[in-house]
Amino acid sequence: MKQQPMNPSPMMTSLVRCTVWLAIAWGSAILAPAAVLAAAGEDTATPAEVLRDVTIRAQRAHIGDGRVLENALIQVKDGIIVSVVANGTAAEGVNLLEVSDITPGLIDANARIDVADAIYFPGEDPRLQILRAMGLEEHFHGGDVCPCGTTCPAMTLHVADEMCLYCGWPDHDPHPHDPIDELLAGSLAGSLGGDQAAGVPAPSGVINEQSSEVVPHFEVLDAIDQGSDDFDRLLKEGVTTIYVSPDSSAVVGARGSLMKTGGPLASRYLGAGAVKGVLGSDAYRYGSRNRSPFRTNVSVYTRRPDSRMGVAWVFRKAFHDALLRAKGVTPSGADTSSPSASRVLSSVLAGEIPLRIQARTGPDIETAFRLCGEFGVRFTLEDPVEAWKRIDLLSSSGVDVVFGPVFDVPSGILAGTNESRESRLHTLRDLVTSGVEVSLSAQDLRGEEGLSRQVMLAIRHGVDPAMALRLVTQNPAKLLGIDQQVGTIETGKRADLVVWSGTPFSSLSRIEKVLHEGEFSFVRGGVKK
Amino acid sequence: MSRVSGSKEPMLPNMMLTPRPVVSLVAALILLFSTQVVPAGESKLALTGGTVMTVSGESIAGGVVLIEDGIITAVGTAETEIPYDAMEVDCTGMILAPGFVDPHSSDGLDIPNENLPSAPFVDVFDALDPSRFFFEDSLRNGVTSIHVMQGNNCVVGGVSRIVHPIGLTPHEMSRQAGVALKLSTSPRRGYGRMRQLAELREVFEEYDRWRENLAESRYEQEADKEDDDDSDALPPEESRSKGQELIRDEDLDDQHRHLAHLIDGRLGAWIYCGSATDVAPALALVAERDWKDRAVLVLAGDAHLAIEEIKEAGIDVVLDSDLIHRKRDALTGDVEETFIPDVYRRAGVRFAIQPSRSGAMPERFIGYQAARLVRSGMAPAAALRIVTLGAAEICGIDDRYGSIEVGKIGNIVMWTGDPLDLNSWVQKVFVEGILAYDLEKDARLERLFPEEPEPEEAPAPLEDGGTSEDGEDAKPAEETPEKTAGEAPAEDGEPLEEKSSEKGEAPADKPADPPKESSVAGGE
Repeated sequence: MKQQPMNPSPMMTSLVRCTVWLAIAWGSAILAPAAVLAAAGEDTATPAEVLRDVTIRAQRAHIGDGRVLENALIQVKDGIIVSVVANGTAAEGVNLLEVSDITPGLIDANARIDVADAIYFPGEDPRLQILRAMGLEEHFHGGDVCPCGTTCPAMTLHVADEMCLYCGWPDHDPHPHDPIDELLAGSLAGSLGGDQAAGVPAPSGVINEQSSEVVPHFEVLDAIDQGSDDFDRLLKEGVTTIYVSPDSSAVVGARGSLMKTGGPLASRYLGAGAVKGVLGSDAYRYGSRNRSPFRTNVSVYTRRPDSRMGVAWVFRKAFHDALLRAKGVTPSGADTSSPSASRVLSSVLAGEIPLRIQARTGPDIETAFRLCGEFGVRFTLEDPVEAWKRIDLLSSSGVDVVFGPVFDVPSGILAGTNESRESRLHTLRDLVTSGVEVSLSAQDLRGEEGLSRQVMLAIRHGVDPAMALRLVTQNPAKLLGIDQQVGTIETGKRADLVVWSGTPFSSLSRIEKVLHEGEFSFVRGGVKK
Repeated sequence: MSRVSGSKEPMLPNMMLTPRPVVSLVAALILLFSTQVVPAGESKLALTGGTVMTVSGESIAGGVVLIEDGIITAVGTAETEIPYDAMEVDCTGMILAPGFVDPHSSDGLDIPNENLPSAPFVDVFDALDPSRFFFEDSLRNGVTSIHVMQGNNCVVGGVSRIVHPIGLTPHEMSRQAGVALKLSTSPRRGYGRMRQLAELREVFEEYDRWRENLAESRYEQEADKEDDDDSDALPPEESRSKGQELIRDEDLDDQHRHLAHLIDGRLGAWIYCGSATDVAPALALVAERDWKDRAVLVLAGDAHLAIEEIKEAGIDVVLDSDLIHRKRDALTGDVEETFIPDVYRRAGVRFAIQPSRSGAMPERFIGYQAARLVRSGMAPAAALRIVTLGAAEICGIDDRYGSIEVGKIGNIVMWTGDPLDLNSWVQKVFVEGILAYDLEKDARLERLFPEEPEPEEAPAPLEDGGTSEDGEDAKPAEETPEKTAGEAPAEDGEPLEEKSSEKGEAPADKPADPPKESSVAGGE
């Protein structure tokens, strides 16, 4: 692993700040075994306290750092692993669980999750909201979301008694839209998912933030539905910790959130994560596309950026504004970011808040390095589909990478972008063998396609099984700065454990039980213990 | 489905088609050409040293499979005598399994459905596109026989056939014409259920009327031959019934020929039911026409909810490639998941499974679909049988396909490991004893997934795990962790503690950085 050049002093500041965060979010129970005993009294309110003590004998315990312990005895007390020994003997009378294979709970460092907005308020044209507030909604139509409930390409709102030139509203049936769009939608619908209408939630339920291109002062937590089924599904497939990254509709997007997938709702949030930058076409094509004013009426959608050059400009200007504001100069001109955004970006520049950049194609990966080089800021590379083209650059720079899903034909979110075309099956193997610190993510894929499926595919495509497990346990834990709490089966760590019916991530075995902080949160074929 | 009559006759090695009455002009042409294309055989091939998973019987370690002129002539242990002139292929360390049988696919066609709702006169032969990537991918995934059938979006569809996924023309690919006709009790696009079923009824009622008229005129023709006067004219009913036996194959017109073959048992009836409510009309049609011996239900959606009816009818089913059904309760929002094959397994209904048509990676491998059956509790041997011999039985081709047995067609796949294990790769595919696919020469895979370049330095500890992409030395996944147990896990050989402290200084995605002095003891 390459030593990463950096300035230590802001990091120390961030350490202190983060420690405070942790103390608030997790309680003191996590930090050290001594603290466990001290905290036991505080935890008495937890109804499942008794169940959080469990002793497990595993034929093979896959520690998560590459080691495998044969015939391991794992003792869990109060949701914390208190001892892991090979060939140990269980004390008399303990509730011993005999299992075949056990791994740490999996960590997805780039999970996409249902958000509340998408469920309760499917998006629509903001002008219609204004008209509704004025009680005039019935008198107008057009503007992307037609009163009939479908998408209308009419840019302008029409007065109600005018027939819409595009969809024929109010007489249309069955909504004959722009024939070219129809044709495209028909032929591409299966493979590419088609374009999203304005603010209409993507299939994953992720909604687009489109108020501005620079919103690092937002946090994705505020949009997450903490009671979403998604968390249960993740838990069921062995994912116990996730980092929720915002979508890719803004050049400098919101901050991600680190969350547990189980436990009481109030305790799931673990802290705010990195600011997300998006380089490439998603920033101007995702959601309702940014449009140039050329040959159309100026509307709320007429905005920059409209090309990769524009994306780089907005990104650069956002950081430049932050530098100016730090010097007391008020930035001006088009695309000036807000003072709140500059405050957050100043912290990013100081190394206090991490930066994550989604750059899928080869040129975008290069742009990420170029822009971050200009400002001397380190970053984590997210979803580099075409990383195989720039392996040398990634390995020599020592950048952390969140890769995945592995695919040749894209599905889910990646099916909706044109940046997923040049994927290769050897990308992950090449990243791993060239020494890049990689975490593997399933993004929005769930169920049988979830994170363990990604590990399966990684192993099929040349990643060593022991290393593949690290890609979803130890590596993301380190990346997210929670490797003292989770990521491996070691003394003092949270008892997030996954019990397998056989060799983990084999196509012939499956997850039998999932323990979240020592509690059985999923038991196959049975009621929760 | 018990076999339809046409395929009961033994197939001659060099024949492209089963030797039964020619069903169409096109088929006649194929028959004419059949002896000229693909000189299958004149060769002897001996596959030695591999583990032979025969499917029909016990596996043979270090077994020998002899293929002569495309037909398996010997299956046995290492002692089996190998003819002096046989080409020997060393399969040591490999697993030989019968090629998978794809029981139902329209992927090889340029478009899956005819635009006409009822088109029993068409044959998938005319839409077979040998250049489809699907066929290449089938070989790559170990599928050697495909039941190509028209899509489900129809009232009455065309005639299906069995093809091999290799050949430059539809002639070269076809192995059996006229397997089954596709019907659908689910509304085709733009139809309501009432219209769908009304049209389906009308197809067969019209056929009945046409046949009665044909019978009557046939009787009259024959009667006229004997004498010229109309003195022996019979009432219409009588002449219709007497004329039924007089109908010859050449009297059938294009519009009705395949329907006649369906009704007289030469074609199977594959009925698509996209949901549980479509099963009852399908079973009613089967009962009314007495097609129990030739009917197969092609199921999708929540059709498994009609399991009691399907079980009682005793009909085989082909399941949709999406093996999980999710039902969301409209009021509570709770999602109930059903692993569909479990339902049929518990009920004892014979079923076949398909690879995914969506292109999603592992489900596209029919071996992985079978692995999912194992995950849900089926024995591995039974799951392998489902995708080989079981599928062949349902298609009515188990006399030639689905297992490694003497007399069957030499469609054999050489795997680097268990065919159901996702870490196994197809090393070689033999179709009729001819090498049809070789992993070493797979140019497309080489592009998507090239071999790992040789490491310049000494191999790092984790790299000896045997997951090389050529798959030759692929081992069961559990071996590697054992091997690396206790070794330094880091690929650069540094102790882990050092690495993590290095890591701690790097401003990665750390939302909340815990103190590093926390006492995390090692696992041991």
